[in-house]
Amino acid sequence: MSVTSLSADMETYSEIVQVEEFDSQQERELILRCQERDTAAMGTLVVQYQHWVYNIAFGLLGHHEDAQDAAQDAFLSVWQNIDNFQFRSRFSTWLYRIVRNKCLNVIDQRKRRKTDPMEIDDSQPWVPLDNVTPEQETLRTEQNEILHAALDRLKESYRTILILRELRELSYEEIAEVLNCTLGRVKSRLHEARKALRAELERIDW
Amino acid sequence: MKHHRIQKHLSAYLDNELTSVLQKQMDDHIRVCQECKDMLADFKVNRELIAELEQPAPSMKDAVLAKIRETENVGDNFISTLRRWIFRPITVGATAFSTVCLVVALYYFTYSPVPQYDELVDFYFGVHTEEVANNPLKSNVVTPLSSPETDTEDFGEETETLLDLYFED
Repeated sequence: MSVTSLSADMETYSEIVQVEEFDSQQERELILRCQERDTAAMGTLVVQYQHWVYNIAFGLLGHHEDAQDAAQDAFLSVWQNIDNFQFRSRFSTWLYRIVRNKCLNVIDQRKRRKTDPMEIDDSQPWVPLDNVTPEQETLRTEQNEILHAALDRLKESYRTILILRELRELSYEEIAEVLNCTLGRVKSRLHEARKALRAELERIDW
Repeated sequence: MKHHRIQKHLSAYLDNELTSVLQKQMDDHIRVCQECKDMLADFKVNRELIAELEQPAPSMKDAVLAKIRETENVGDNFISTLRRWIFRPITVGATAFSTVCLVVALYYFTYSPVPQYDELVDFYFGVHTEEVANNPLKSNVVTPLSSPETDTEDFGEETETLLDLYFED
């Protein structure tokens, strides 16, 4: 790994750490500033959430470029509709709902174009968060590709709930809020999704 | 609790989302049920694999802010272009001409003149009416064939004398 890419990773990593230190009061202030059309505040919000927004989009779409576009569109949507956010729910759940809708739009467009939905994206090399050997990295990339293939064969609702729970580690309540369904529905759907993924990975002969 | 009902709760069991009573029942069942034990182990492995999908996101701040500026400039540009277009001489001239045409057309289609009294016209109209009334060919005034005046018609002095002599006899 080159020094430049390593420093870029470190910069991104520092952004991730920033997310953890971000409390709800600061978030509220930023949102209020965004509602007053302060682009600098919007920039800070983007930095805070870009990691998770991108990862959720990537988990749902399995394609780097599409995930990046969906994430950027989601942030643009946030800026255009920030006045409608009334602090009745958590900002993150509102944002993830927007991201999910953007990803669904991309999936719909793909279906209309009738292209192969499972197009493994090799334009962007997999960048691990921790330091691993090249062999481990190759193995992980391969694993991720198989996992993406399996995820992509699942129903959209299963894929979404798995990404929200396993990748973003949202609570059942938060998932219910994002997906706009009951807690019982989240429990049963998550169980079905896990079973479906297990069956799909067995079918691929994981 | 039956096996298939227990299995439905495996996912919630993995996430510690069950009540303590149900959690205890699950513990007991999993200890003896190999199928549920395997499924739970697979769920755990798959969870870790999905968690490994996480990767650093590309920085999006500049791109998003550029998009925001772009969309807001589109709005500004539209207004300034519209303003420039509106104040072009040809647009102003065409607009003025259209407005005048519209006003004239509206006046023409909605104006209903109030008749004014004209003495001269009234005089000729009176003469004409009189002429027409006196001309039986032109008149449309119906005159009764027998009117009450016929009975009391004055036949003249000679005729009355003759009639008196006749009735005396």
